[in-house]
Amino acid sequence: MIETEEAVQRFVRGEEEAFSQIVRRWERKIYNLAWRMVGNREDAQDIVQETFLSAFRSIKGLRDPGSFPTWLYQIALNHCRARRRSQNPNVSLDNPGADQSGAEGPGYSGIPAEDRGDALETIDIIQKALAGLSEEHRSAIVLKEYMGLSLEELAKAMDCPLSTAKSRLYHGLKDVQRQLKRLGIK
Amino acid sequence: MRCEEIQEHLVELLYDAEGALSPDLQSHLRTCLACRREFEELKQTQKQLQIWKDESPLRSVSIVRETSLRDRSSWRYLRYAAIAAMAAICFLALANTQVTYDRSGFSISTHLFARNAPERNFYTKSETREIMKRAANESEEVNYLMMQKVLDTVERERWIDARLVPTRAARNGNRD
Repeated sequence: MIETEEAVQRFVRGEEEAFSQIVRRWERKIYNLAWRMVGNREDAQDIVQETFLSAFRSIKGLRDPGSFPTWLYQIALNHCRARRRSQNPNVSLDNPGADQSGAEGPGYSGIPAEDRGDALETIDIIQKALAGLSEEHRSAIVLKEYMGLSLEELAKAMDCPLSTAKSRLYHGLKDVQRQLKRLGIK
Repeated sequence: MRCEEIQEHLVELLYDAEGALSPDLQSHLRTCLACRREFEELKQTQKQLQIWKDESPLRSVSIVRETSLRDRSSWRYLRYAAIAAMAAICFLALANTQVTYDRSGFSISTHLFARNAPERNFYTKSETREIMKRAANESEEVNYLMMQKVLDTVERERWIDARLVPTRAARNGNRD
C-alpha cells in the first residue's frame, strides 16, 4: 500500500511514468471488481480502461494519497453504474450466463481439474446469485468479500455511514443466501 | 440483547471475530438457537462466495489513450484554424466585390485585396467644369490635350444618352 502512496505522490509531483506503476498494481483488482459487478469480461475490461483514464485525469485533486484505493473503487463503481444504465440490464447483470468471452467460465484458475465439474456449476450459480442482488447489496458484498476492504473502508468506498455499510453487507449476505437456495445450493 | 439488535454484530463477528465477541453477544448466541443458526448460515454463504476466484484481466490497460486524446485535440484546433482561414478568405472576397455597368452590360468581379481604380480616359462633368476654368490660364499645348479629353468625355456622354433615351422613351410609352 505504501508503494501505491509513493507512486501517487510521485505522479502528482509530475513523474508521469509513476502512473504505469499504479496501473500495474491495481488493474487486476479493478478488473475483478468490475467483472463481479457487471458479470461480463469485455465490459469489465472496458471499465478498467475507463476507470484508469478517469483516475489519470483527476488524481491531482486527491488530497490524501492514502485514500487512493477507496477513491479508485468509487470511480470503478461509478463506471459500473454508468455501464449498467447504458445497457440493457438483461444482458449484463440479470443474465450473466450470457457472457461468451473466454474459453472457461468465471474464476476457475486455482481449482484442481478433478473438482472443476462441480466448481463450474457452483461458480455459475454464485454469479447468478450476485446478479440478482440490488446494486447497493452487490457493491457491499463485492467490496468486502472479494476486494478485502475493512468495514470502515467499505463505508468510505460506498460513501455512507458505517452502520449503513454493515446493514447493506448483512442484507446482501442474506439475499445471496436466498438466491443460492433458490438456485439449488444449500 | 434482542435478536433484532444482533444483525450488525453478526456482521462484525463474521469479519472481525475477536473485536466483536462481547460478553452480551456471547451469552445471546449461547442461548438463542435462531441467531446461532443464522450466524452459521452467513458463514456458509461467505464460504460459498469465496469459491469464485479472481482472474487476470483480458488485456493490460493501454495508457496511450490519454496521449491519443491530446493528439486528437490538437487536430481539432488545426481544423478550427482551417475553418477560420476559409471564413476570412470568403469575407475578403465579398468585401472587395466590384459591380460595374458599361457598354458590355453588368459585370461582377471579386478580389481578395482591393485593386487600384482603373485609369479612366475621360473626365466627369464636375472635372470638366474645373478644367475649363483652369484652361484660361494654361499654355496652348496643355489646353489642346485637355480639350481632347473633354471631347472624349462629351462623346462618351452622348453615347450613354443615346442608349438611355430610347430606354426612357420605351418606359414612358409603356406608361402611356
